[in-house]
Amino acid sequence: MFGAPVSEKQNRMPPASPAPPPRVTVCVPMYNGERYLPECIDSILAQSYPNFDVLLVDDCSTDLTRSIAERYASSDSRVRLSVNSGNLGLVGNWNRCLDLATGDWIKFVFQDDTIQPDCLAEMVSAAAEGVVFVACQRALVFEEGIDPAARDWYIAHRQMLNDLFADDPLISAERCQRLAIEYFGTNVFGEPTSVLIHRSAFEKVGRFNPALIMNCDFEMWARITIHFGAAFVPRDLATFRVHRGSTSSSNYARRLFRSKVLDNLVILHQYVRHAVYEPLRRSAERRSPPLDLEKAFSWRCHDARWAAEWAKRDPSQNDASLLAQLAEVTQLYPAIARPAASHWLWRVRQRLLPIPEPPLRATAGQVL
Amino acid sequence: MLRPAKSFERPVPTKAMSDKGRSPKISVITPLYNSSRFIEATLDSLRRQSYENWESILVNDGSTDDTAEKIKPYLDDPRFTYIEQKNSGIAAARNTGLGVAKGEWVCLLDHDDRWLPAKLDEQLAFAEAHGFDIVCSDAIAVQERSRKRYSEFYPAEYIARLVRASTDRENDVFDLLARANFLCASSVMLRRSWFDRVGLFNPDAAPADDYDMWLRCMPDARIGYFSEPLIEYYIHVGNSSHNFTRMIEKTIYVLQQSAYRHRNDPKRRRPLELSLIGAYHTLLTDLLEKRRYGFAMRHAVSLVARERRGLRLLYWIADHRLFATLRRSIGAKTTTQRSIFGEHNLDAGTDNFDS
Repeated sequence: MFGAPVSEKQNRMPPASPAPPPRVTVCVPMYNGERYLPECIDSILAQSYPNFDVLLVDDCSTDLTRSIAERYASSDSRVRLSVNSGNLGLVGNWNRCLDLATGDWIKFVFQDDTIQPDCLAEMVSAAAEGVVFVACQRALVFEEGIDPAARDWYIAHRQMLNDLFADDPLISAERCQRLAIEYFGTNVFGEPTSVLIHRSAFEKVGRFNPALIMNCDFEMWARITIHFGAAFVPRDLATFRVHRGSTSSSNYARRLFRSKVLDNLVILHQYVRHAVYEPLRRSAERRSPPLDLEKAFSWRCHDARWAAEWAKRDPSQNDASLLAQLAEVTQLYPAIARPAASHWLWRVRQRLLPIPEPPLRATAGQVL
Repeated sequence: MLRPAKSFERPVPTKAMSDKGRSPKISVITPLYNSSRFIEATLDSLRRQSYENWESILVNDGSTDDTAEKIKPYLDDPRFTYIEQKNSGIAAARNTGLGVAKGEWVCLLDHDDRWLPAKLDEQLAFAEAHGFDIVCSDAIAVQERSRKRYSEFYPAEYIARLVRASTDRENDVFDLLARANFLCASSVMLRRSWFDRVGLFNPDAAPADDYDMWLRCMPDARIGYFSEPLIEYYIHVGNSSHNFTRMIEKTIYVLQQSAYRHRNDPKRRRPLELSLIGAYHTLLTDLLEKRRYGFAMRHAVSLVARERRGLRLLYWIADHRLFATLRRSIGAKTTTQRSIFGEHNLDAGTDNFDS
């Protein structure tokens, strides 16, 4: 009743043998990836790390992906295959991976990427006490015929990341809060293939946001790192394959609006409203001059509507689909439909006059 | 004596124990701008420090005199790092220095100030003993032949509270900091991790950029005040704080930002607002005295538009000026009190230093 005396048994030190390495689940979300999949799975199975399993999740592929995966699952006991009952989409499939993963650490490897043999070992050992998020440098592989501008962008981006974390392997949560504001929309930790995340992080801050189509990894990393900080391994432990983008396709402008403008708007909405972003809001206020996220959000709502209305009314475009996309996002996040007071003045004016072309910031998705 | 090892008998390492005998590196950041007159004395005072583990980062902010030549002999010492940049202001130069700083602690040393030999030693011990994030100290203000303690410019109650706050966790220095920038920039030592947290100096706030930084660190940071003077502060014509009007303008800018940050917390907002009112009064009085009526008008408008009791204060200042003019017209000598506090007693009912 008053606290039983501690028995000798409980008091004794644990046996001297070292703790077993934590279990890592390597998740490979798959969708029509027959071309590079064997290379990817081979690179995972060649890991030097002793305690890991591989989780292949097929999102109802229509090519040979599934049979390749089945072959690996039957020949190696560490490989597990799961097939979704219906197509969940890219982000839905990532979240499905999180549901099925059983390890302490979760590592995503995309179907067309590879990891170095010591990737898992290095990254797990880089995780000091309390670290739940480890990122590493990644090498880039460019597909034939890639746009030189995109190629240069990726090379510059990679260099930027390496410079950013060159001096400090441990990145504090406060620094991550500043990065999430200063590098808004830029994924400073790399694609999911180059990070390793502890399960507890997802338990605390939730899973990938399926409302985003392009920047969902940036948003997820921001959500984790503003609470826990991160560790960085300055070595190329993963390889990221850059595909040929279809910039010439007819719906490019439309996709750009969804992936840049609306995605950033949704992230900004979360920054302003979601409880999980409280540390980030405090960091924004500590800046000098303080950053008013509310105001930035309402102005960007105005910009997005401007760009969408313009696309509809401009005779050369006559494209109402941007407005439809905006309405779709607004259904999920109603606050986006309530822009600044000046926007209503603008709407009255645009009844009488043709809408001018929106500024570049409205179409390029610049936010802060 | 042999005793069986029991896990529960092992001493738990405390912070104080692990810090004992440790000598963390201290980065000293010195922005230089046309400082050939003082720089040798400043750097000599740094080299005389009894604490050895420091690195000095000298940032030449586009000097147009022979500062670079004066520095050269010091660069033989590997602890000195020298960076040149084109002129972009003291805050930008400090930021450049912070970019390359490696130490656990950061000190600011302005080009015309001097440290007493025990400065780093005393402050480091003081900071680690009490777990402070920021420590500052008293200073000796030297002007030609007069030497005065910096604390003499402040009311005794103010300093007394500051000293009490340094040893007592319950005492909050936030309202003291809101009233005046008691941290003499060259005397400050702070943990480098705080720059991760709050970001770098704001070039727009210079020359009040240091005040801006301390206000951003509050109320989370613990500020310690070492009541013995550890630096010598030289007052001469070239001081960056010499341009009084600009200093007050930027102080107002900084206080407004801070009041915005604490807009939802009346306990924090209140002292900032009081301080703002005092600063506006000082600024308007100063501008009227210099007969810069256009600027005075502009600031008066912004005062009425932005501050809660702006109109009342404006009336008070106008009234005060009228009496001054009348006094001058009958030949009486007018004096304008221009203390570090501005005219804080404006709101005497609420502005007493509670003990």
